[in-house]
Amino acid sequence: MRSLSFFAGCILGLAAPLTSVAASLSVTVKGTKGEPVPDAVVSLVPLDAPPTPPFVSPPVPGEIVQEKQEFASYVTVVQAGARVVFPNRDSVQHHVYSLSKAKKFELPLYNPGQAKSIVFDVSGSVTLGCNIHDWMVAYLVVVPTPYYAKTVAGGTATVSAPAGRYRLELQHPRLTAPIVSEIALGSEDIAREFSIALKPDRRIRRGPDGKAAGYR
Amino acid sequence: MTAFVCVSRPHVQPARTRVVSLGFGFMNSLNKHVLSLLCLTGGLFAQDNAQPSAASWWEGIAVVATPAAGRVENISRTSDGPTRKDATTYELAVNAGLNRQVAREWLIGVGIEANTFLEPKFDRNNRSSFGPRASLQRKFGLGPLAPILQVDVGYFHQATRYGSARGETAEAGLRVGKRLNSFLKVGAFGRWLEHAARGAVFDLTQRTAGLDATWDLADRWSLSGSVSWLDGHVVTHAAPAVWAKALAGDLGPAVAAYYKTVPREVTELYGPGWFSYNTEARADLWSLALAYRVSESVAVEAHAGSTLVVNEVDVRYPVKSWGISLSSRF
Repeated sequence: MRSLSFFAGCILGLAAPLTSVAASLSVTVKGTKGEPVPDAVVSLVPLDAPPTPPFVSPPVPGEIVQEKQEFASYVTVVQAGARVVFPNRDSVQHHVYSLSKAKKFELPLYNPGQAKSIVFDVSGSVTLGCNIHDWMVAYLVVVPTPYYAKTVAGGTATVSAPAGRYRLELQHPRLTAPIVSEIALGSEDIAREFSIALKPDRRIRRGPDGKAAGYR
Repeated sequence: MTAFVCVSRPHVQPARTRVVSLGFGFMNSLNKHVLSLLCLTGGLFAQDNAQPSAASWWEGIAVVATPAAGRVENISRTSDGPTRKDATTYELAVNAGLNRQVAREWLIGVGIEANTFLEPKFDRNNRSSFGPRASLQRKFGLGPLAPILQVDVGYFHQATRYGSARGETAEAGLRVGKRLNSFLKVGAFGRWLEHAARGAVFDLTQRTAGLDATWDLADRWSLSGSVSWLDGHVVTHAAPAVWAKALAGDLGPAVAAYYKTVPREVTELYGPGWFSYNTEARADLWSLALAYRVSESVAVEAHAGSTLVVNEVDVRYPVKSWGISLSSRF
């Protein structure tokens, strides 16, 4: 019993420093006119090898819902290796696909109420579309780290990670290339602000539906 | 494309009046091909259904109802200006359809269409049609800019208030479409129609070729238009006095000679003693439609169109129309 207690104490003693040094990075993303930019993805990729602590938890699964002939979320972010489910909660069929380098795939036409899933192993930005409804577009950002967040409507996001050195990556569907910098997290929370220039929004205009179904 | 169908059908595809046996031996070649294709598409669905699937075959059926009201100038397709008849029209179209992806890039659709067309002022023209339609689409690649090829066929029974104006219609169409950018789609199409009616006056063979475009003005608004050219039979109408003048040669000897050869009968579709006659003609058609998406399943559309029919002896029948429709998907 004493040896078991001693062993448990050692485990707790080792784990305590790992969890107690976590700090938060608060990010604010604004456009060139000072307007808040939602849907920007902030990720922290550990530069210390091996990462401390190591990534032991399985990646959190993602979900990208189709409803009202749109993707419910414009930007979704998951860790590499995560399974992403594509539930059709619409009243019509959808044919989800991507031509992106990070993951080329297609889910042939499937019915309302059905769901399909795919594992995303490779980091990168995956542009999603529906081959029936041209205007449907969404982005899945796959990052090689469990430390990530997405800016909300106010343009802010908070990422928590253990102390250490990180490569900070800021991504947005309308950014030409990710913004990358190096950052060191200590025991105190820090904040960063980014002003970014977004490309024009070239999304397909939806317009009224035709009376005929199928490709349009 | 849609607007083109709405505007042009009442103008150049008149009431049909002859019942044709459903036996294959009595049908022309186009009808045979259309029915064969319809049977083939049914077979493909049966194969798909035979495969184990969590989804029932009826899941994914979309029902669309489209009531419409319109005003048509010279609905009687009359060449003589003073005797032309205008009318308000009402239409209800309901179709139920189902799509299946049968292979990569290939989509097949089958459906049933029912349509009722009312002219309260000239109610002998009231008509309804019912029948199956099937389509086969290929999208050449993934993504919004991939071109689309579509072949569709339909076979319809048409009943009309005018006693002998019943018949069977076979349609086939081919369309190539392409999105050019985030707001503009264009297409080219060809269409064939054969109608076997109870009376020869209402027999039709028509070929149409055209171009269409849709401009998505904003998130909920779109403007679409089409121009097309028709060649084939068109049913036109004349008041008895005008018809008598034409046969007497008052409109020229060529007109008189031609009108004595065409299928004709007193139908009284637009008044006492009115004649209907079938001519070989060409028609130029255009249409414009402005549509607004009210919700995911409801859209309203205002449309206008024009048809100019010119028959073999250069007699002209201009028709203009405009109207509004509401389409709702269930």
